[in-house]
Amino acid sequence: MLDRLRGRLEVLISVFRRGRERRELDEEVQFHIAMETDKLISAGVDPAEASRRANVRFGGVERTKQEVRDVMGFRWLDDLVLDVRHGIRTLAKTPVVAVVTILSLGLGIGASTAVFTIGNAFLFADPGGLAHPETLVAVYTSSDEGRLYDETSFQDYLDIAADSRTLEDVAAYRIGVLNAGDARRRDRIVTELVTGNYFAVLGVTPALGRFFDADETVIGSAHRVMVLSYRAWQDRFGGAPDMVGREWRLDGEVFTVVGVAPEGLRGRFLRLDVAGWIPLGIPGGTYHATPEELADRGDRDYQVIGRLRPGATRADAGAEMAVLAQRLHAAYPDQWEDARGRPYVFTVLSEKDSRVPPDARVALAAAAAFLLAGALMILLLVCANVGGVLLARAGRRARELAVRSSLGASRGRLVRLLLTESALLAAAGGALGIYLAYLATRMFRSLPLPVDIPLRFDITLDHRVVLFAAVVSIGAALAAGLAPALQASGPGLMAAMKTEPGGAVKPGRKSRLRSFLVVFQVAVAVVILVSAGLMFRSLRAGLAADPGMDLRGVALTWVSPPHQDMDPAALRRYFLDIEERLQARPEVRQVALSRMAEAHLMMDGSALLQVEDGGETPQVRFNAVTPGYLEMFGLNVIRGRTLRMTDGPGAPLVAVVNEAFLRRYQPSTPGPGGRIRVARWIDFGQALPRPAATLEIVGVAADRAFPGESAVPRVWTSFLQDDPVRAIVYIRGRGSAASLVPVLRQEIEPRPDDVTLIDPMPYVDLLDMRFMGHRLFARITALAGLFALILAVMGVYGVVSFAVAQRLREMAIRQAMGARRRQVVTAMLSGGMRMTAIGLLVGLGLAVPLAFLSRSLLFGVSTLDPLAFGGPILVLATAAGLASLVPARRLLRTTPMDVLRAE
Amino acid sequence: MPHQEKSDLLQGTLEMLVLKVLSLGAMHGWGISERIQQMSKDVFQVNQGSLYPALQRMKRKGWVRSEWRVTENNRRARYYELTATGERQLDRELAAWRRSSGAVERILAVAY
Repeated sequence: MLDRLRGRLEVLISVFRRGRERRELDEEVQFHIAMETDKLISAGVDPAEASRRANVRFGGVERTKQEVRDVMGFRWLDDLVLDVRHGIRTLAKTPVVAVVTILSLGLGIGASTAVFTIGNAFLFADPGGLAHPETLVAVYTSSDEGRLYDETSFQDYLDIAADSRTLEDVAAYRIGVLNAGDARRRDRIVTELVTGNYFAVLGVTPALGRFFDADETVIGSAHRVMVLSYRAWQDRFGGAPDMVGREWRLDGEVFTVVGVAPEGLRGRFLRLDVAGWIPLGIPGGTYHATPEELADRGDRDYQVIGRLRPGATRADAGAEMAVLAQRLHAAYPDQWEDARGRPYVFTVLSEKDSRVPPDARVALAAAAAFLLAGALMILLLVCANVGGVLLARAGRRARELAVRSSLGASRGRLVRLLLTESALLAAAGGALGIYLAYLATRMFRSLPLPVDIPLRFDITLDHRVVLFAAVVSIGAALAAGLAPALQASGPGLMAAMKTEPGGAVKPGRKSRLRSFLVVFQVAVAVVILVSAGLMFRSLRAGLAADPGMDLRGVALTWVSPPHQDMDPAALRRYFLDIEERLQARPEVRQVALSRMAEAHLMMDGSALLQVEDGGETPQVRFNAVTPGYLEMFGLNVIRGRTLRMTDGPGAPLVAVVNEAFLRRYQPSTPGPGGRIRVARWIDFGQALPRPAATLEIVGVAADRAFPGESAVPRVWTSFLQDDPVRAIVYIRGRGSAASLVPVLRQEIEPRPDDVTLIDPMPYVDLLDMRFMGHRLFARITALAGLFALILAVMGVYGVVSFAVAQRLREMAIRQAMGARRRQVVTAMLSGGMRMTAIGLLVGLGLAVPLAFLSRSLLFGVSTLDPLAFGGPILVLATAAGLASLVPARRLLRTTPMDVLRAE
Repeated sequence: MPHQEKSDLLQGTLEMLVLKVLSLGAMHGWGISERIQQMSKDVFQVNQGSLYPALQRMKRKGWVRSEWRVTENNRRARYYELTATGERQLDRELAAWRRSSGAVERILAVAY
C-alpha cells in the first residue's frame, strides 16, 4: 500500500520537475542505445552500423519518450505549452488580423460584461453588510389594488410599528438632499433621514463611534447629529481617525458627527451612495418635514423597512399588514382611498426585491435581459466573423495539418491545436472585455445628470462578473474556433495533402450564407454610421445655434443665503446689495438677477403661474427678473416697456410677456394694458404661499426659442415684487464668461467660512446639459458604428480570404493558360466589392427612410446631409476594398508554378 | 505509420517478465531487456522501446522503484528495483499464470 502511495506521489511531484524528468529520460534512453551499440561492436560489427542497428532495435525513440511521458501524465501539459507557443507564433505572423480580432472580441465580450455588471449591481448584488437580509422586509402602500407602489405616511408607519406582531422592529426613512459646506468643499449631498432604530433594524455596527441615541431621534429633537457613511468618511474627510465629534455644516446648520457606518453600507435605493444618515425628526431645513407634514396621514413620503420576528415569514407579515390596512382604511377613509375610491393596501416585499423600486423592477429586469440578449447576439456575430477568418486560415494550413497527422497526431490533437488559436484570441479578447466593462461602469457611475444632485451608484466588478466574462470568453473561443478546427482536421485531410492547399471544404450553401451575412453586416454598419453622422452634425449645429437667449459671455451663480429665515425685505436687500457691488466692478458691464435659470434643463418650466383663461387654468412658465435681465439676454421688448426698479413691493404687480403668450392666451389684445389673473404660483411642484393676483402686462418681448423647439409662452415678473429665498445672479463683462467666475466669488463670498451656497460657472455650460442626452446618444451610436464597421470589414476579409484559398489552384491554372495576373486578381476583388456594394445599397435603402422618420430629432442639418451619408459610405467602401485587397495580394505573389508544384 | 495501442495481454506479460527479472536483482533498463532475451532463449525479442513505458507504469503502481547509480563501466544509469508490493504482485501473477497455463494444458491433453 505504501509503495503504491509513494509511486503516485512521485508522479505528482515529477510534474513540477518536468524539465529534469525529460533530461533523465533522455539520458536513460541514450544509455540503453549506447549499451546495445557497444554489445554489437564487441561482436565485431562496424561502429556506424552498430549504432544504426541499435537504434532500429530500440524502436521509435521519440515515440517511446512520448509514451513514457504519456504514462507520467505529462503529455497534455507539454502539448498545451507547445500549442500555446505555436498559436502565438501563428498569430504573430498576421498581427493585423490578430489585433482586429481581439479588438472585436473584446468589444463584444466587453459589451456583454458591462450590461451584466450593471444588471448585476442592481438586481443581484449583495446588500452590503446587512445582518440576515433574508429576514428583512419592506412595506409599501399600494394603490390600484396593489399594482402601484407608493411610499407610506409617517402616521401609518407609527401604526405599523406599534401594532405589528410579525415584525419585531420597524424603521422608516426617506431621502434628503442638503447643502453641505465646509472649508474644502461646498456642494449638495444625498442623505437618508431615518428613525432612531434604522441601524438596529438593519443589524449593523458602526465602524467608528456610535449610532444615534434615543433622545437624539425623538421627533422634534433639535440635536443636530449625523452618522457619516464610510465612503464619505474616506473621500471627504480622508478617513480622519478623529472623525467622531467633528462638525459639518449642512443647510446652514452645524451637525456633529457621532459615528461612521460600516464599509459597504449604502442607501437603500439602488445602492445609492449616500453621504450619511440624519435623524428625521429634526425640524427646520429645506428637506426636513414639518410637524404638519409628519402628522398628515395622506402625506406619503417614507419607506418602511422591518425585521421579521424569528419564526415569522414574509407571508405572515403580509397577512397581518392586509388586516391593518383594512383597519386604517376604515378609520381614515379620506387618506386611504385612491382617486377612484378604491382602498389602498399594504404590500410586503423582501429586502432583495425592494432594492429596486418595485414598479420598475420588472421593467428593469426586462430591459437588462433585452440588452444582454442584444449584446450576446452581437458577440455571436463577432464569433461568426472570427470563425470565418479562422476557417480561411485553417484552410491554408491544410497541408501542415496533414503532415502532422501523418506524424502521429490524432484528430483530437489537431483540433486542440487549432482550438488553441481561437482560445488565445478569446482569452485576450476576454481580458480586454473585462477592462472595457470596467471603464464603462466607471463612466456610468459618475454620469453627469442634469440635476445638481450627486447620484452615485455602486457598480463594481465582483466575482460574478468575472465569472460571467470567463464563461462568455470560453463560449466565444468554442463558437469561433470549433467549427473551423473540426473542419480543417476532418476526413478530407488526406485529400488535402494530395490535391490542393485550399482545404477540403465544399463551397456552395455555406459560403453563400456567409456572403449574405457579410452583406448584412455592411448594411447594418451603414445604417449605424449614418445615424451617428447625422447626430453629430445636428449636435454641432445645435450647440452653435442661437439658443434663443444670448448667453455668450455670461457667468452665473446660484446664491443661497446663509440664513433662510430672513424676512422678505431683508432678503431683497441682500440680493440688491449683491447687484450693486457687482455693478461697481470695472470688469462687469451688465448685472441681472432672476428666480430661476431658463436655460437649465431642470429649472426651466419649474416655476409656473396657474392662469385663469376663460374657464380653464393653464400653467404658464414664469421667471421673476430684475430690470436688466431682458436686455442682457437679448429678449427685446418690442411693445410697451421693460421692467423697472419702480416696479417694487408696493407698486402694482406687472409683467412682461412674449409673443407666444399673447398668441396663445390673449390673441385679441395688443399686449400692454392687458391683464393676467394668477390663481396660483407654483415652484418645483409646490404651491407657493402667495395670494392670487392680477398682473398688468406692461411690455411684450419678441419670441426666441432653443433650437429644435418652438417658442413657449412666458411671463416675466419683477424680482422686486417676488419674495425669493434664493436667486440666480448673472454678470456679463468684457472678458470671457470663465474670467468672470472669480469676480462672482469675490463679491458674494467675502469671508471663507461664509456658507452662502454658490456655484458659479459660465452660462453656456448649463446649456451643454440640455444637449447632454444627445451627446451621450451620439457617442454611443458612434461607438456602435465603429464596432459595426470592424465587424463588416472582418466579414469581407474572411470571405474573400477564404475564396482566394479555395480557388488558388483554379486561378493559377487560368494564369498558366494566359490570363493576365491583373484579370485574375480583379476577378477575386470583384467578389468582395460586389458584396460590399450590395451591402451599401441595402444600408442606404434603410438609412434614408430612417433619417426621414427621425427628422424631428435633428435640427440644423438637412435630412439627407451629404457629409453624414457620404462619409460612412466612403469609409466602408475603402475599408472593404482594403480587406478584399489583402488576401487578393497573395494571388499576386503566388505564381502558377508555386501552386502546381505544391501538388 | 498510424499509432496503435498495445494489447492488454502483451502488456501484462511484459510486466510479469520484468518482475521476474527484477526479482533476481536490481537492474537497469537495458539489462532487463537483455535478460529477458537471454532467459527466453531469444524467443522473446521485446521491442525494446516498449520497456520503458511499462517500467513507468509499474513505478506508478508501486511495484518497482528507481534510482540512479553508476555501472561497472562508470556510466550513469537508472536502476529499477522490486518493492515489497512488486514481489507480492509477482507471486500473484505467477500463480495466475500457472493456473491458466495448466488449464490450457489440460484442455490440450484431453483433446488429444
